[in-house]
Amino acid sequence: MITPQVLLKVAQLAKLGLVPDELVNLSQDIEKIIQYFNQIKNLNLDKVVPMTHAVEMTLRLRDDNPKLTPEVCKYLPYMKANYFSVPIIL
Amino acid sequence: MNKDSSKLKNREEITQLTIKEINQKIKAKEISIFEVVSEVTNRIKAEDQKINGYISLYFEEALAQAKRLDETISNYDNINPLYGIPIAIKDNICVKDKLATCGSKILSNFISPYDATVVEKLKQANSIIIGKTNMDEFAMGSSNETSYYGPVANPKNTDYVPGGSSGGSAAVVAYGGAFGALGTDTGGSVRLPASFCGVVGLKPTYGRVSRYGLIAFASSLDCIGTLARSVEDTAMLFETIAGFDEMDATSVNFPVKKFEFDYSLFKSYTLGIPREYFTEGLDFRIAKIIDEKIKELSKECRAVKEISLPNTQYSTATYYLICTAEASSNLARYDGVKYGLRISARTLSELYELTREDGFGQEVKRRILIGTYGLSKGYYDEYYGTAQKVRNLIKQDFDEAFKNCNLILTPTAPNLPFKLGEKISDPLAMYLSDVYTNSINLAGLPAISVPVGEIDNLPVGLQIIGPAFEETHLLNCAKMVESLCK
Repeated sequence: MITPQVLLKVAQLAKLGLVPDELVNLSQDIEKIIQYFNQIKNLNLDKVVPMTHAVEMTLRLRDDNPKLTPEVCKYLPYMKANYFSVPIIL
Repeated sequence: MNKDSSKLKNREEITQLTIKEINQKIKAKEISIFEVVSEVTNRIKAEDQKINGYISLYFEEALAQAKRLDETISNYDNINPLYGIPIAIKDNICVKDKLATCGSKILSNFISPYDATVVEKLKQANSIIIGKTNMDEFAMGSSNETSYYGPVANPKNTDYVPGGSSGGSAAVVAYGGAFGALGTDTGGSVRLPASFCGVVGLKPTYGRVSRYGLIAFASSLDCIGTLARSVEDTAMLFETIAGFDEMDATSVNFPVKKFEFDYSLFKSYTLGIPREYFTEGLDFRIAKIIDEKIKELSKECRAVKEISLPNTQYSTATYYLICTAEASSNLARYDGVKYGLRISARTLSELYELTREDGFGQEVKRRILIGTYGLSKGYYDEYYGTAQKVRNLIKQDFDEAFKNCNLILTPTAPNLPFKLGEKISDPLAMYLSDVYTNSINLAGLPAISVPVGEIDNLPVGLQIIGPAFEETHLLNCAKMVESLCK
């Protein structure tokens, strides 16, 4: 049952602020949606393999070479001296 | 410039032509690219206030580029099909130095520092990016009513929705605000608006078109697709943007064939009609139009046979469990730290929560919460894990079906376009709008929606589904359907 209390916990996990009205309305909507989802829970899926991708493929990996070029930095409004400024965390 | 301007009596008519027709007129020197772009900008100025199809427009740059392109044509016979053609881009696809809002407040100030691969390819073909189109926020919606920049109206009747999430792209192509557009299709977001606005919408095979520079919603489902006024225009756009790209780890290296209509090939097709799509819930008037079209096609092809896709009834639950789970992960990056909206706060945690509270709309919040719930401890196997298994069953249904037919035909949507505001307060009813399209994304297959008629001046689309990487057959069948509708 998706109560406002359950949803508040989920919102905290998602780092998503919600105002009290939203919490009530969204919990009602989501409860109805989850009830609809429950139809697949009773299927016999013992021998079925989970599918993670639509097309069989091997993911290719590139070298991870992060580059903060001036072109990229000019659109990063919260950057100061090559760092992102955030509120004090300690 | 014009060799024979009198051939185009009504200048406004220019904006209603196909890409192929415009290309022929440019080649014949009947019209300049500058004139084409001018007419499109006039059309947008006249229409877009009531449609709201665009979020950003680049008139000045487009006209300057048109002038340059006119001046640099050395051989009119050799210009490529998209040369000087105004194209619109959905606002979740990055265009260098332009806003990419994704229809959201949280990205309302985000400017992309690079071009998406598909945009780069369109630019290389010398097409003209005329603007960025409105969309459901983060492509989450079936009606184009969840955009932070306001809803899009259907050009056929502005009381009705254009379908979503690529509603802006479909609408501007329909009213003459661009000759073609890029959209994205995660569960039907190209095909549904194409059907609702009366244009052709192609969702390619997963991996066929590079997603480098596409803002992610659900990574195992997202595809970039095309919206255009004819099947041939669709083929031109598709062939331009498709192909392998090392910048996209899911890009597949599979040759893209050039499309040419082949009637003898069509005659060899067996068309499959899945019985699960023609049941309760389908508007009987749509069923009648689709039935008539199938009857007409049956006279031309090898055979039409009833097939079964038995797990269709589970596709909407499966699709929404998977796409919300992936969305909750993909959208975690919007936290106010690096780019986009930032709401000032005393602590870092408060910064994340306040920024996301203010920056996301209701539908996006709903999906993040559903996805987080479905992935959370104690529920992962029950929901996300189960959905991954049912996804496999749905894929197997299609594999089985294609042993008995070449292509599958269905309505694109069970209902006609609905009125603005009609479903926005009932998310489950909205989710069920995708019921005929989302299984195709789960299976990673290509599909196309072609207009086949109208009911009360509202368009009806026929969906053609093909095996993976068989877009040529889709286009071939779509061209046959189109020719039967003329």
